[in-house]
Amino acid sequence: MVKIQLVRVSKSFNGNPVLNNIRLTIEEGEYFCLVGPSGSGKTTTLKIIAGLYSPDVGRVLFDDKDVTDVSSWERGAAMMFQNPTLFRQMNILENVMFPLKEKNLPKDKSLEIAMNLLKKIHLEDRADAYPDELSGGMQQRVALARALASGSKLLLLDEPLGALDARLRLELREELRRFAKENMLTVVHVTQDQDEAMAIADRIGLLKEGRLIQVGCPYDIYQNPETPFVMNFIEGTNFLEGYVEDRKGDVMELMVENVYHRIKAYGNFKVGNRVLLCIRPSSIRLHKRKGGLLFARVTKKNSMGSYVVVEATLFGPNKPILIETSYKDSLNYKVNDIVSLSFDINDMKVFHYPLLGFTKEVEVVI
Amino acid sequence: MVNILSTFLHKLSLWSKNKVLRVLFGAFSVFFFIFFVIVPSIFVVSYVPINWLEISSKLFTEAENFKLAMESLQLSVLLSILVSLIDILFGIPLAFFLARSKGRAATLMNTFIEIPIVTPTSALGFSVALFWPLVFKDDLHAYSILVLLHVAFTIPYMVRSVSAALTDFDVSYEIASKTLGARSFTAIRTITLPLVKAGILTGTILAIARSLSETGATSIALTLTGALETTNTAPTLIYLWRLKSAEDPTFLYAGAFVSLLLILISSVLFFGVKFFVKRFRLPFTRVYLPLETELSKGKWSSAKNAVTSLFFIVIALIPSTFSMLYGLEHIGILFEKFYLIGNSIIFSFIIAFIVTVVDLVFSVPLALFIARGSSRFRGIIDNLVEIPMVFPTVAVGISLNLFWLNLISPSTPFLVFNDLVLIILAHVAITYSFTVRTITNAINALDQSFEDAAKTLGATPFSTFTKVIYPQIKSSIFAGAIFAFTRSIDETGATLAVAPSAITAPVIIVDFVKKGLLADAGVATLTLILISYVMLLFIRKVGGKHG
Repeated sequence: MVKIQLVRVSKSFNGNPVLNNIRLTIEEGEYFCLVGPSGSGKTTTLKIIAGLYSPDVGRVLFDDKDVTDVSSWERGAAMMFQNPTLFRQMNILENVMFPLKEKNLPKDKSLEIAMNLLKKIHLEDRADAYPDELSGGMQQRVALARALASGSKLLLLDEPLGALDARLRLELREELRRFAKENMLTVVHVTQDQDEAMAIADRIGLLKEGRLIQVGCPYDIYQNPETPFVMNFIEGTNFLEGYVEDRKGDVMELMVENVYHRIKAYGNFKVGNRVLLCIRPSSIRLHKRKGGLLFARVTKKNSMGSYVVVEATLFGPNKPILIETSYKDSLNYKVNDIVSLSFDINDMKVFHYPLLGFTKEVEVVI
Repeated sequence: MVNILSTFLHKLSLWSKNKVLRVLFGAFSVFFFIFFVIVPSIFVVSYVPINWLEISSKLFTEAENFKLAMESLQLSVLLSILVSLIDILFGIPLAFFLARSKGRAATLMNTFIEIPIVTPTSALGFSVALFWPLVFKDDLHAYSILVLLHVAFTIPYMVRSVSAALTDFDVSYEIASKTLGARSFTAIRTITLPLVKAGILTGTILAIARSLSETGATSIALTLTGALETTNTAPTLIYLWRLKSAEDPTFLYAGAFVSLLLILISSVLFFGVKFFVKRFRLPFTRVYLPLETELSKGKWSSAKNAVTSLFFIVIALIPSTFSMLYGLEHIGILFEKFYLIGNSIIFSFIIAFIVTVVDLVFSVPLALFIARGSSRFRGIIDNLVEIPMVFPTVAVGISLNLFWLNLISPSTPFLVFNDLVLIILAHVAITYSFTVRTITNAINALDQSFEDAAKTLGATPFSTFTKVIYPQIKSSIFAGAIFAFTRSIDETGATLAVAPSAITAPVIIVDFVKKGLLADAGVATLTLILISYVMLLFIRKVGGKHG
């Protein structure tokens, strides 16, 4: 097991800063997911841990030992990519034996280890097959076996499930986690899929424009996002702009989007502060006519299978709000119906209005 | 034996872990490139100003020499531009036909295109210069023969470059534009042509470079038409003066001067074309509807294919194979002069073999240095590699001759510079850049995640190369080797300039023609062509197995 520490790591390419002062500790045996929009520096962070890039500034520590200047082939940090990168001229067995040969292990010994690993991924019958003859999922399993064969206690995954179809992704991500825990590996897993991260990570680190915005366990990140960006990235969120009208203790009264109603929310901002009120679609309830706080007209209904996303446009500011309802519930509302929306005070999140503007804060370029 | 080899490989693998050794290895390949290719090739640039007094006295006191030099340069430039325009006009449509049509005619033409490429240029020159006067009786001016000859050996390069670009090109763009209502002619003109511009650029540069530097075939053609004393391209003039320098050494100065100008002119043309193509836009966006609807009809397309194919067959294919008939007529001579012809061919093959080996040994490390290195000089080296590609070979020959014999040899008596060594140095200087470029491009095209995966699995740089990179670029290394080999067999200009008395296979043809022994030249041509074809078939067979 390996503990990884990044100490004030910065990196730029041709003068463009990619990573900015990253400080991160990943504990022994932890399954750590690094998420963020594309171009946020996830892969660069991973490659710096692998030793494929060296940081401009900062150190990389494995188990408190400085490995910043240790070459990638001596670090013992096996990396997997979206492309399975199986060597085409070698068959499956030879691919799995590749790292063992590099260690100059006796042939019978390495054959035994490789066959055992192939058994674990249920591909022992295909040992003679060449990579092109296997499906994408099988190839990625072989890549996993090959990484395990290297004996490294640290596994670096660069969107390894990105090229697979949805069903296979679900299956393989469980398998990845199981393997990691069984073999007591420390894993750093880069993904663009926040659901994937929520499902398998012990802890999640969220990167944006080369900065680590928040690190925490999935529950924590979901419940206590530190910025509107985090909240929106983990699950698409409704934003309402406004300011604090009044505050009594922990309860503020907000005036949002020039809607007539005042909305109560927890927080201790100063009266007059400009704020952003965030409510998840799953936290909003729909009512016929009266019963809710805000009035709106239903403008769209999209069935997502297990649930329905209803789009309703607020009266006054003409702002579309997304609401998740059950299929059954959604039958009560038709397009153009007038509805009202309500939400629990505990499900709302209030942030200071972003300094650099709303778009700059929450935009996600994918 | 196997054991020793595997311990040695293991040692290499261990050494490759050492950063100092890796840096030294990269530095060594750069050193080779700089001191064996770049510096000798451009030595003439410094030689001319230093010896300006001798040069100016030779050129300006004997005014006819200066006039000859200027006329020859003018002819070379005009010829190369005219030839590349003809290549563009006929080569691009032919490339479309070859890349897009799957019919039997296109397959056949694809094979035909290879023939002028694998035919050694001197053999081609003899063939072309023999063929056209027979067709036109005696009304053919020497200039016309030169144009016909240069088109014959350059057009295959244009066709190959453009059709390669077309094959790489994603056809769905063209299909998309057709489904959006574009006529097929319009689709090709507005969508495809701009996207294969790079291929056209490569083809044009190759055509200009080849035409500017061709020596052997041109001098054969000029000799056969009897115009050698009055008409000269720059390379043949340099060659002529190089021969004269045996009796009057001052001619070497004059030759160096013309070489310098030729190098400068071809560099200007090269960068000019590159700049022009980058900036230049055909009226791609406008659509000329009635005309293009008419041109998109099937009959025009078939007519275009027929005309360009016919053009190629008449201009390049028939003339280049014609001499085989001529040679067969006099085949008896082969047995009389077996020793002479056989010797020259063996000499050529020995040279080509050594040149290929040297090229490969030194170009793979340099390609790795450029494509995968972390040195900040790699960008500079990458640009430097392009330069020798456009140098006319005869000028490189003169430059190398001056560098090794006049500069290095006097101070290093322990080194032997005989004809063999000089020719090998010259051929390496000419071909090295091309093999480096081919291999560099292949490495650049690789998905680097394979190498990254191997490294994180514990593979040393050496085993990352042998087990991950090499299997993927094998075919490009092979292509580079074939190129080096055929270019070496083919080369006349540099060989003559660096060692005028050496007899390689293409030189012997030039020699026979000069002495008026046309039948002998025909037989030598036939032998050389046949051996080249057989060699290439054999290499293809072997290479095919290795992918």
